[in-house]
Amino acid sequence: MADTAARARRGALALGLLLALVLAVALLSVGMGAIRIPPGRVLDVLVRGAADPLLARDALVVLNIRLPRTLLGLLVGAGLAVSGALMQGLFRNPLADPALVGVSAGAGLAAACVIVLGDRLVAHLGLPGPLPYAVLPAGAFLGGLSATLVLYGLATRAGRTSVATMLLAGIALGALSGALTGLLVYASDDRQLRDLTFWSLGSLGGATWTKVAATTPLILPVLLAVPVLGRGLNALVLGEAEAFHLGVRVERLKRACILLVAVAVGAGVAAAGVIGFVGLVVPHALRLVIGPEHRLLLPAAALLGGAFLVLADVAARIVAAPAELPIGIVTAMVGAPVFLWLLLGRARLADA
Amino acid sequence: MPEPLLTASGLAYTVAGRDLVQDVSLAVPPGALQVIVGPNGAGKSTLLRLLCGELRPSRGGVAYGPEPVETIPPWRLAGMRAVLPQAARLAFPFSVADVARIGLDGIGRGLKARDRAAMLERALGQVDVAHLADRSYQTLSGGEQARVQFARVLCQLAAGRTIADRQVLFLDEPTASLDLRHQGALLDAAAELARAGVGVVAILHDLNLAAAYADTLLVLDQGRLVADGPPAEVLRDTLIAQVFQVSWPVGQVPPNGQPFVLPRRNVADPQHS
Amino acid sequence: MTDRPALPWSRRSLLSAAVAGVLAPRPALSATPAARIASLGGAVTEILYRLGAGPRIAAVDTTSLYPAEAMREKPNVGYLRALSAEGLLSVGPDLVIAADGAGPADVLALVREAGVRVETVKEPPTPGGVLDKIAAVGRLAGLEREAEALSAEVKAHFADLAAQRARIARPARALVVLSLQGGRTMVGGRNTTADGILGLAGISNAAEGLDGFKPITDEAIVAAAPDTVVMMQNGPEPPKPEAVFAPDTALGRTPAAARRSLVAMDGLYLLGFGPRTPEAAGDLMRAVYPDLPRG
Repeated sequence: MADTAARARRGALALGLLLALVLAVALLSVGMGAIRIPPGRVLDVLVRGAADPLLARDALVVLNIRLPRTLLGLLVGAGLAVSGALMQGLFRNPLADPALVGVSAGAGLAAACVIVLGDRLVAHLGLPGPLPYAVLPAGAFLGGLSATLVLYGLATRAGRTSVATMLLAGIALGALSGALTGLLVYASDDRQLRDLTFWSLGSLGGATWTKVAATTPLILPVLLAVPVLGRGLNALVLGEAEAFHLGVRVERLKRACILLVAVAVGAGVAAAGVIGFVGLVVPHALRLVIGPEHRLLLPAAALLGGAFLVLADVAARIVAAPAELPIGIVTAMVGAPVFLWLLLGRARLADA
Repeated sequence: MPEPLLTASGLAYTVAGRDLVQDVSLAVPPGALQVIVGPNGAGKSTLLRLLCGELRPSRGGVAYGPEPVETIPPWRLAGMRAVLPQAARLAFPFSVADVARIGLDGIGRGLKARDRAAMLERALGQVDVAHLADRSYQTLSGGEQARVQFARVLCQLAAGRTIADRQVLFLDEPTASLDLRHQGALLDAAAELARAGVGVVAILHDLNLAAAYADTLLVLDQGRLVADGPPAEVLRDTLIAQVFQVSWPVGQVPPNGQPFVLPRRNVADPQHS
Repeated sequence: MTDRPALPWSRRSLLSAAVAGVLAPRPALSATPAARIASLGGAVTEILYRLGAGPRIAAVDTTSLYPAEAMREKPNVGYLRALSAEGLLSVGPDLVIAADGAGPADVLALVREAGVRVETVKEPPTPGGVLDKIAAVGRLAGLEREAEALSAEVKAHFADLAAQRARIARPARALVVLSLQGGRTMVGGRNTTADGILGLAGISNAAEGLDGFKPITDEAIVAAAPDTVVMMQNGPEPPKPEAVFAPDTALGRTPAAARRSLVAMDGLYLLGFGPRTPEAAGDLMRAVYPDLPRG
């Protein structure tokens, strides 16, 4: 009995700490940047808004550049980390990654198509160029989603989805779209090549309220589903048959997870490019610290994922200011050593 | 005979033209421990999966009371029957208590935290793993893991009793990795559940264990039910020879006539050839 | 303020007030020349310096390699096509002049929203393109007179170049090699700045079968049979002919190898299509046709 209560307390403590971390990181992200604005003024802007004309310029930077960027980072990071945890639970493999359901491959291919062929197509059709900027994220989103639907169709026979087939088909489809992307890279000119490279490294730059508004309804469902999915994923840890014995609608759970992840990751990729590492490492690191129980792990992943991505973004824009690094570089460079440290610390603990 | 908890009629299951189970009809009455025996590939596990609703039969049907199994929503079915699988490995380092608690999560959500904790504690104690509660499941021996899974099943039954008063428990080779003491303890617990009104259906490989615990023995061979009845009636030299294809003699333990099968070496004896 | 995007739904009224607050005190921008210019693009920066607007440059991008003090003295806002809105705003520009293709578009929109004028200039690799660029940059910087003078000077150089080009009896074939990394040879085909500069120098492009900057196969190099190889010199040391024309490589089996004809020039000078382009084309022409009578 004491055990259950202590567990609940530990869980609440972990979530409370993570929430505090998210708030601290968000404040940091809103307060820091290439333009120096004293914390007091940032607070002024946040509290009193832009009513004071003296604050107007700072208000614009804080409210229109940093705030949407911070929110987008929290949203995309949370979506990626939760998606990673869901995929790992679904595939019953701690190395699973949202990329396994083909989202990144499909989105990458679609983005390459838009970058390399878009302007040519517009010119060919005699339309007034250049291509509207929204075509790239929209194309990436649709590409990611359709890749997942194709994979899901391939792996589903008579209403049952084989995650093993999905995994293998995902590898094949990834190789195929990698090759097609390579073909487009070959056909691209110097600028398009650099665009592709930068896009594939990801960035939260160019975050606007429009982007936040477009991304929120796509990522929010996966976050809202978190309280519902935990129990089913816990049961799924025992195996698909066992989960069914325990009253879980396994096929429905799989379908829900795959679609939610495809939509959320597709939207994340569309808004911020391909950001690796968050989906794999955040859930894994959390498992080492708070354990694998999904009802705690999933909300914790949402919080830590958001905080991690926003922190990486703060680093990305401060290190080389006034220029900025692609965020994918920072997540890997910060994430990998921390992850190794956690892993080795845990190994030493187990050996002792 | 009381009204059966579960009836199966004319069950058949065909995969790629091969009949894994053919024309099996049986009933699971409350309060009895039924044991399914048979050689490898006889279709025992397939039959179990058909009975618990995991597989849809190609022909025939399974009903819990009056309800066909496919019409019962999974969450309610989970309160009516529990399944102890063969050895299960976990991908994540869940603790022993976490694993057992999964049994409570489905139906036990409406229960008070205090009741849930009591159920968990009782289940862990019953299978002698209470001292392992905080250990990681992955670090346990095969036998310990099997007992934790049984604790999880006991939790499910305990929680299920709050919504269903008629329950069936399926055990798929529950003793495979256990030492003798824990084999006895597990089957004692199963028999005790049966005394309390649960219908227990177990697959066992060890014919002597089966003979000791079964109220009814079901013999499966090539997907067909070839014999059923009390062990003393079913276990005969001819059946052992036909179904298991060994000529091991069946004996009887004197006081209550419990049958036993005595293994015998089958290497050609040079003096008699 | 020529381009004010519609406000998205999520912008609250107080925010619109902020935008209005920024915009209100600013009169028509073209009336007073910009005091702080963010110059994005190698040729744009070069033109601004030539027009004498160097001191007014507030920041440059990573492609602004000439004159050397640009990179040394000015803050660098990163790669032209991967800009940061706050980074750009932090240098406090009142005008951004960017080469075609600067972006992302969202970032430029945010910068515009902050009340900063953002203008892009086109970059076709032709003499006309260079002259138009000079005129456009001059107009934006409020230095029309200086731009006219520079334009006339550059135009005269292009005319001299054309006269020299007319004396070439038999055009040589050259391959512009961008990189030789990892055994892969990247060359400039049709529709590239490389093709443009070769044309100006009276040289035919041996890689005319390719479109854009592309890796080329060994066989295609041998088949292209260039008389000359043109390369970028990015460090202090020019690429060495003995390395480029190593005997066992495809380049080693071309007429260029036999003649040891390798021209190495600074990348921006050669391909930048700025005010120095006639000189660059002239240098290239003299390197390839050493016997051509000088005009």
